[in-house]
Amino acid sequence: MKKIKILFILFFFFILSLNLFLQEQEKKEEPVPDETNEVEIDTSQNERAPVVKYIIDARLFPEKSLLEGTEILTWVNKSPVPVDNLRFHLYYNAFSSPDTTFFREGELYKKTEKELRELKFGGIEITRIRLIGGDELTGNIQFVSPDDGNAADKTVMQVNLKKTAAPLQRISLEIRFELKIPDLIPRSRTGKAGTYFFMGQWFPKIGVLRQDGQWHCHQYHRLSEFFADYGDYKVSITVPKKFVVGASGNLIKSEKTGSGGVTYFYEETNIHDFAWTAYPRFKKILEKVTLAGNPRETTIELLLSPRHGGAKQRYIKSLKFALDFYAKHIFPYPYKKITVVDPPLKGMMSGGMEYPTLITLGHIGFLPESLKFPEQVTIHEFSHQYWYGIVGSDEFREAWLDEGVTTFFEMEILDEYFKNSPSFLDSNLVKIDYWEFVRLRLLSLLPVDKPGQYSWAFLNSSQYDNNVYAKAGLLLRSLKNHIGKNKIYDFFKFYAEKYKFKHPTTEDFIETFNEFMDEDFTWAFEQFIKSETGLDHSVYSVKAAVVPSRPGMFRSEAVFLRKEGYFPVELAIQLENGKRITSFWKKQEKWKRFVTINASPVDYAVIDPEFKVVLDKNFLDNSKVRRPGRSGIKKLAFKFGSFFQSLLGFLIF
Amino acid sequence: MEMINTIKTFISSVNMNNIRAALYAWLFNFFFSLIAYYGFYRVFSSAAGDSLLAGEAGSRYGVFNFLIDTFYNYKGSLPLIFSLLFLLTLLFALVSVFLAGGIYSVLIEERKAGFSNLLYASAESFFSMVKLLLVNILNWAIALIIPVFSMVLFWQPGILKVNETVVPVFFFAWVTVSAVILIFSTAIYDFSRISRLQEDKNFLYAFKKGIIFTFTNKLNVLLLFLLYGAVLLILFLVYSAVSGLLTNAADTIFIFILFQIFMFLRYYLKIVLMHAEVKIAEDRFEEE
Repeated sequence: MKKIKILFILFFFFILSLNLFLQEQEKKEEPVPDETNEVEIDTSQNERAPVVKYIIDARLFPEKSLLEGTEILTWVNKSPVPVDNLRFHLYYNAFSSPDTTFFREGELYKKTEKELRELKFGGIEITRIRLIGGDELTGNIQFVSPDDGNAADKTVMQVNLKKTAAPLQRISLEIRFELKIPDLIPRSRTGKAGTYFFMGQWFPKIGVLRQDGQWHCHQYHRLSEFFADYGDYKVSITVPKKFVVGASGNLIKSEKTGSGGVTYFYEETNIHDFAWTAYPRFKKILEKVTLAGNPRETTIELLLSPRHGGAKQRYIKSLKFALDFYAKHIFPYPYKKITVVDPPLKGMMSGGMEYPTLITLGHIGFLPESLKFPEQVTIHEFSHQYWYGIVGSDEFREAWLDEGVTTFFEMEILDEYFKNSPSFLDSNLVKIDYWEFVRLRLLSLLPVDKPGQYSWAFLNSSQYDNNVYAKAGLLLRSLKNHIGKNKIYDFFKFYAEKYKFKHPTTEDFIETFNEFMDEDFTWAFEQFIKSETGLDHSVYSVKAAVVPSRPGMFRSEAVFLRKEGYFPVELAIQLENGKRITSFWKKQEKWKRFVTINASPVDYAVIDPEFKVVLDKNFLDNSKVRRPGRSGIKKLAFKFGSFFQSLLGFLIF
Repeated sequence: MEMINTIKTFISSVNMNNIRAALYAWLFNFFFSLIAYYGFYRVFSSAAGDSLLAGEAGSRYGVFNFLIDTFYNYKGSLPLIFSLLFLLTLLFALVSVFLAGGIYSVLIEERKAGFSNLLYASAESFFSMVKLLLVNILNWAIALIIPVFSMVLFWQPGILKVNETVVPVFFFAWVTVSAVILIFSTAIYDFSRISRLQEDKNFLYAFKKGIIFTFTNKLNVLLLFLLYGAVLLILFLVYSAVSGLLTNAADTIFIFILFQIFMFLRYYLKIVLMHAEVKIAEDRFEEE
């Protein structure tokens, strides 16, 4: 009995302490940063909370090319390691002097003195940073250059904390900043051109803290894109009232200010960046679409530049097609709105870029219908909403995961969109499908880089583009042709569901791929993503001879080679009587002799007869004929010869 | 009235004698082009080797793939064909000068454009025609100044800062101005050659005469060339439409023949223009 009493008393105290604990927890659930608390430890809730929450107030002064901003950042240390500093991307400092890493990598030596003098520099200045309800940190700022040690590069800011941030601790900061907005230049993607403003990478953005407690916060490189944690954004943008504004997220309301301006309030959750644009001459076009599997309507907001009326339907029609494609094969676009920015010609340097729920395209007023650029860029950038936006892979370190996968889907969607006509160029002289254009980029690759390497470590921009876009995209297309279209679409659906709003790595991709296919495809990624290896199949010889011991029978022989790389491939021998003998060459070996004894001799031998393995660097040596025809060559020689003859005709007298 | 006369002159120049001259001109063009046809054939043929694609190039995996595979994997033969084409172009330019002198001579002297007549007249006038060609380099250099400089200026980095409306307007204006400049510089060259052959004075005199004549007869010259251009355009459209109907591989030979007919007519039309120029010059050289 005495024991029961003791147990009862213990139980009573347990319940009492639990109740007090829960009450304490409730007090800490205030979402707004509390001025009286320096830091707070809220393990249960912070574990579920997004890593970042941004509340930004931005005011644009277009005449002065200035922007003033205040940012309230709430950040949770999701690593198991306490940290004593925070790192931020100050991307705008990439444009602050000719000595930044961005400009050094931009081959400034190619510019003339006059061009250098004319460069309009920009930058971002942090005027104040403090812990809300706590320490003043403005004096604790230092700049670091983790990638190249360039002391003149101030694109990564380190803020040393006076007290460490414990695991799952949430801290709130107030950051005041000023932007000097530069002119748009190649690869800057942000800045101004006349009265057109495109604001990307414009606010102090905290880096990603890895599980080992190290910051993933790279400098702004010329050949790199971006990477950040998912979070919630509330952004208010104040501009003079003549400006038409478009931004990531949803417009909640707009209010006139006393000084002849308008403030637009935007919000979105589960995004990892925020971009916006302002231009007085935009025409705003809104369309609503209903996607399969999504009861809610999705809004297309197109900001069209003057004289681009011809592109309007091309953008909207191809975007709707892409939205439907993804709804059917992956899952419906999960956000309420997609903003499509069509920059004017002068703002072209901001075109062809992806941001969460906002894409920038590109068009020139007199672009001919035969060039399918508007459709191609629309489908490419929209695909990034999935492969970058929703599946947040790392564009700094593993750009192939977003650019390669996006290029793969771009080819797939363009194939379907332009079913009966070429999907890249439809001219009288030559017709080009988009996948052929991508293959052109593959052929010019030097075997010195691999797609799965850091973006800024490539030999040059062609090597970067051709590896991460073309080689990776064509690998996935070759795998699709090998595995089957439906199966690979199902894989991407599975992969996207698994890594929705997460940060998969190359290893995650390969593991998921192998798991889903129930087969080991590591060989493909090891060769073509993690190494410089290319692929080249060929037919070495084909011959036929009468078998003396068997009258009327012929011994036909073909030798197939894997000159470079390995990919399972179909082999075929066509006999003169029309009979076809095929075999699938899966074994990892460099050559294979194929012998058959038949009533008819071999006509030709071919490796990969359907051109399925589009990674192959040379299709011309993929077949051999015993008695080759020349009709195709003659036709081609006629085409080029007549072109030359016609040119000579201009010299008449 | 003058304009109607110009049109009548152009129409009256459509005659059988000019067909013969056009035939020789086309034959020269065809001979030179055959070398190019064969060069392309050899390049593509050696790239394709014994491949199945030699018989199916274009039809199975696209002309574009065939070309890029040839370009990237068999680079060796490309410098050869490009050097050959360059050499052919230079030689053909000289042959054009040679033949044009002969054709203008027989047109001026109203002789039959037989092979020996043409050959003799061409040989006789060749050196003076070359001298006029060299003098006319000045004419073409001046003529090129406006189109080239305006294009270079337009493509300065500042292009993206101008209003986008300006871009199509600029291109339209550029094409129009360039066409007019091309017409007048060609006319100066043509009339200076006619003057040289007709009046037998030195080539500087002929050059000067060509300039003066062209600019005192601006509208007639413009009309004459526009007539030539319009008929040429119609011919091209007809050829494109007909050849577009022939899409099978077996039709290649028909398209080839059709193309040669088109090339022949192109030469014929040029000689009609030359004849009209000669007639106009005959009427007015003396007046001036």
